[in-house]
Amino acid sequence: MYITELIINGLIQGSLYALVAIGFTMVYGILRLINFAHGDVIMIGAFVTLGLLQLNLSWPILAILVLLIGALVGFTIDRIAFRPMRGAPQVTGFIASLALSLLLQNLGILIFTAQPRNFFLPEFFRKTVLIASLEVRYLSLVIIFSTIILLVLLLLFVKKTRMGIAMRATAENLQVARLMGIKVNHVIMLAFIIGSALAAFAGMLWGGRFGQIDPLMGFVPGLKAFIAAVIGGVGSIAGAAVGGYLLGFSEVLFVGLLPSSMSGFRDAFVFGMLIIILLVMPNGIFGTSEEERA
Amino acid sequence: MKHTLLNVDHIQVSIGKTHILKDISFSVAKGEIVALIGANGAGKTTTLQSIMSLHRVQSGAITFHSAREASAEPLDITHWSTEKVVASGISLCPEGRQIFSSLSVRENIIIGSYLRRDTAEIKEDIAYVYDLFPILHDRQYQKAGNLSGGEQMMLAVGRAMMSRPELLLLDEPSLGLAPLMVEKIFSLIQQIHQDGTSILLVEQNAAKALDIADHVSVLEVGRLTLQGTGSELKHNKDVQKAYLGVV
Repeated sequence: MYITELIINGLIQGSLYALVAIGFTMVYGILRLINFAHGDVIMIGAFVTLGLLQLNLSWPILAILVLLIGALVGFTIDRIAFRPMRGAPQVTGFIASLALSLLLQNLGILIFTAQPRNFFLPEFFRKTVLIASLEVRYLSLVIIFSTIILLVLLLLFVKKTRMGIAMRATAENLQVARLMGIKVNHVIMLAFIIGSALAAFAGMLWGGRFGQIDPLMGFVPGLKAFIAAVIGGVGSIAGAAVGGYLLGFSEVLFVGLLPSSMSGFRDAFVFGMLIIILLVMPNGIFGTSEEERA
Repeated sequence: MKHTLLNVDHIQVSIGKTHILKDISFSVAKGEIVALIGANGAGKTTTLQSIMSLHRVQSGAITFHSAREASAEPLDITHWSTEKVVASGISLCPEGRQIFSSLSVRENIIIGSYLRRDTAEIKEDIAYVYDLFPILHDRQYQKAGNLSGGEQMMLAVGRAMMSRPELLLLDEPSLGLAPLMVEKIFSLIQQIHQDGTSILLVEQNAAKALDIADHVSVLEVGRLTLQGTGSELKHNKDVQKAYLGVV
């Protein structure tokens, strides 16, 4: 029973990381840009949800609205912060993303104050169901299954549709993609839109899971999701998902299985393991080396 | 008089601080194969890339006059976006093949038709490409990166044909291929030409290029030094010495 609980918690934590890691990996795959502001979209998603909760919407509509607003945030971020500096050296984009991250966090503090706020999803999510004599909240199941559904939809989109093929082609070779008539700026915009929609969605679930939100809440999960993307092999969507679950599971398992005196060192154990994975597979689990790309 | 498809008029192009194309003018008429020959660094690839708007043209003009809309005025495409140039009917098969190696062979071909919406005709064209290159049909679900050099060249040409170009730009199609494969590629280029596509060919293998081209321009460090028909230049002493290995 204890193991079942650990597995469910691992799945939940992994789902949240996976949702955020995908945005990192999609943008990096095309632009070679590490977008540090991506984590802050989690925060935006959580606060947007908090606002929408006042309207007493039914929860599927709430979820769709959060996805849409996340998409809009992604569009705006690309249009205002990154598109004007297309073609600039990579380090410029990196610094811009740090600046944007600080800007979003401080705007959050300015508008909502740094005081954490209570975050309660509607009654429905707090109901429980008995699985293997364990009381599991509906919210936990929603997190696990909505993530799986979104992942499958995204993988189908990238694998099967013309725009998905264009996306993969652009990630491999931007200039040749242009020669195919692909509007590269549209593809980049779409990567920001999809990634941010998923991150905002993760923000909604994150708030529901931990019950509290604050303007700085996105930074650490964002960093960890970035690491998950690296472990999975940056540029690979399936890799980001696997990396997310791996990170989530190892966090939960290290805390659950180690003696309690050691649990404070959770992150040290987790990152130690990740370093070992990268030593064995420097390009991440699903990654290809740059030489192979060329 | 022949219908002029592409006209390159006194263009100058710099990349960074290097002045690459100093004064280039030539034209391609409908139904022709035109070849640009010249040594490494003469500016052949830059010329093709400039036509596709991958570089900014500083002065001069590039116009394209589609034979499909022969009654309309020629279009000044000098400062168009690359996707607009592709949509107007020009396609470039880049140097070094540059297929998308992580995509399957079939996906590479499909992505060549990215701008088109005529699903039924796209299917016909995929069949046309498989007809030209049966090996691609056999390997359509494999990763393109696993193809041999010659097969990748075929894929690159097939991909470029999927936008239904009136004018196909080929950049060094024989580069790095075994002699037998070079023969094969050149006969396929002639086949594509006979099927109605005009061709602008950049080639180091001058002998081959002179054999199949209607008109040839010789480029030296950013300038055109000679122009003429294929057979004229074949008998030109300077060309023989510099490019054909005749002493």
